[in-house]
Amino acid sequence: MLSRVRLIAWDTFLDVARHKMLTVHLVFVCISLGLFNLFGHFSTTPTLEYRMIQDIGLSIISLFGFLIALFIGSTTLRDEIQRKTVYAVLTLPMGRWELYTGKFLGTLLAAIVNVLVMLGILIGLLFLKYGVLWTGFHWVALFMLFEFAIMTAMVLLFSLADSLIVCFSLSIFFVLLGNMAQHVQHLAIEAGIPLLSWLVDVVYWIVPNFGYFNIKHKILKDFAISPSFALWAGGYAACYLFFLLVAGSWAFRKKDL
Amino acid sequence: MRELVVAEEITKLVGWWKKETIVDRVSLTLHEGEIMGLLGPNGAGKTTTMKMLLGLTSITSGSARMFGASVPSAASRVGVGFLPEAIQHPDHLTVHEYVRFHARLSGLSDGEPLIEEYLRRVGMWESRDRLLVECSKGMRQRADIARLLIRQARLIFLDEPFSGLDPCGQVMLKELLVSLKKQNIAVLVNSHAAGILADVCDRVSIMDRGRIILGDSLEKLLRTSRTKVVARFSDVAAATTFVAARSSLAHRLEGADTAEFILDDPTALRELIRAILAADATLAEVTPVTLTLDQLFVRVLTGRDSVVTGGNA
Repeated sequence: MLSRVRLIAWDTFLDVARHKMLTVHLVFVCISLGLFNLFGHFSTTPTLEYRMIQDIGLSIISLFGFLIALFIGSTTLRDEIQRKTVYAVLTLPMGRWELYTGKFLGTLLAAIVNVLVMLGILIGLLFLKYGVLWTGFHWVALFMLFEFAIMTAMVLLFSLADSLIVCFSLSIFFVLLGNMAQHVQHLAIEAGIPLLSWLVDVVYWIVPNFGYFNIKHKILKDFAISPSFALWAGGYAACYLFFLLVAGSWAFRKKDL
Repeated sequence: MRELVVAEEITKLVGWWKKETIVDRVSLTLHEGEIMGLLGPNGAGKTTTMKMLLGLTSITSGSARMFGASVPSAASRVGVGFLPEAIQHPDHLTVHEYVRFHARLSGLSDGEPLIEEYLRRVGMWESRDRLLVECSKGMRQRADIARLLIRQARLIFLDEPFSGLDPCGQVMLKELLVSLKKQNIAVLVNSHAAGILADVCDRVSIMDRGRIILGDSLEKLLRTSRTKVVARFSDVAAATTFVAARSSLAHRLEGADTAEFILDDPTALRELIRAILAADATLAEVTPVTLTLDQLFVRVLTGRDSVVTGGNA
């Protein structure tokens, strides 16, 4: 059972690895990370310049990480259904959840590898320019793993919709909402309308709060990330992931192919 | 022979508000080592019927069992293989990698000897390192057959396998189907290609608008109650006179001195034979009229009889 999931995940990863889109992404990220050096010229001190490059670099990686999760997650299962290759797999005596989970893991692996490559490029550039090795990057990588795991599972779930536009719209909407969850809740409280507050509370519990995984401000200010906070964030991500995978597997099982 | 597939009045409705019937109370059985054809025009519901049996699409009502297990359980798909129509194979895999991937998914961790055996059997061993996208359609289908065989499939579903194949590919596939039958593997094949189905199928069901409108062994389906009688007369004048006196019978003058009659009624047949013999003509042929599957298909779907001309031809 698990070996089948592993096989499907690896096959998905290999398929994704051949996507030209990823190469384009990586080239674009390299150019972007190179261009941000320009911003350094506006800063007054080397420390500030270093922080600016870190800040913009992490933002670019986050954005491209999301785009990769969005493009791969929305097409991996949909393409298999349209190409009918999914029929060859699903007529084996296996559950649809195995294919779904394998697709998720393969997509996540591809997204993580890409993010790690981008992080590596950023760390390399910072080292080349300042001769300082950024040691706190593993926390960034870990929290990005949590964030992209949820994003990938969410996109994969929405990819079961019949329309690609619906999938894109829902994914972008939920990611934006998830990034602004605390602000939206705060605004609702400030508005003082009970029904609105209640509605926002409901949405707050449904939509994952991506703010928990955004540790950029802590990294930039050299604040320490406590293992307990990382554990809490990991647990939070695992809960959402479990819910999203169960919901996705259920929806995929019910889908007429 | 063991029943591998038993479908009882399976129905498929689609649509949220306005329900549309795609498959309407279809019942069928398929036995071990039998090749059954589902013949029908586009949109007849053939592919949906297959998908329901394979658990790819839900059954709205009715029930089905495969290998004794109820559909769509995983147990019902043990020993089942499916070759969909116009499958677009993964472009990142070679023939060998493709078959190995499916062998591993089927639980064959060390399947190399089997992979070689089956790729050789379908004539693809020499092309094993070619990317699937670089293979012809016929080659990809052979790779797919190897994929099905390697998991020891006892029941194979083929959806429009002949479409897009050149004559050589069609012959190869027909031979492959016959060889599967010899191995006691059951095959359910969907196709519009009536002529090809007639060559390989034991039984055929004709579907239209979601329903099986005719289904039986090929021999019974093609049999008719009609008889063809061919008589040879001494000269043209004798033939013309004889035919003119029996203008109410379906007939055709073949050449100068030969007449062909098609009769439904056994009494009329006896009388005609007596008359021919009395006219000193030679009874050249008395044979039951059988249809081709194409002719039966046209007759069933359109009500038009394309085999026998009535009255004067």
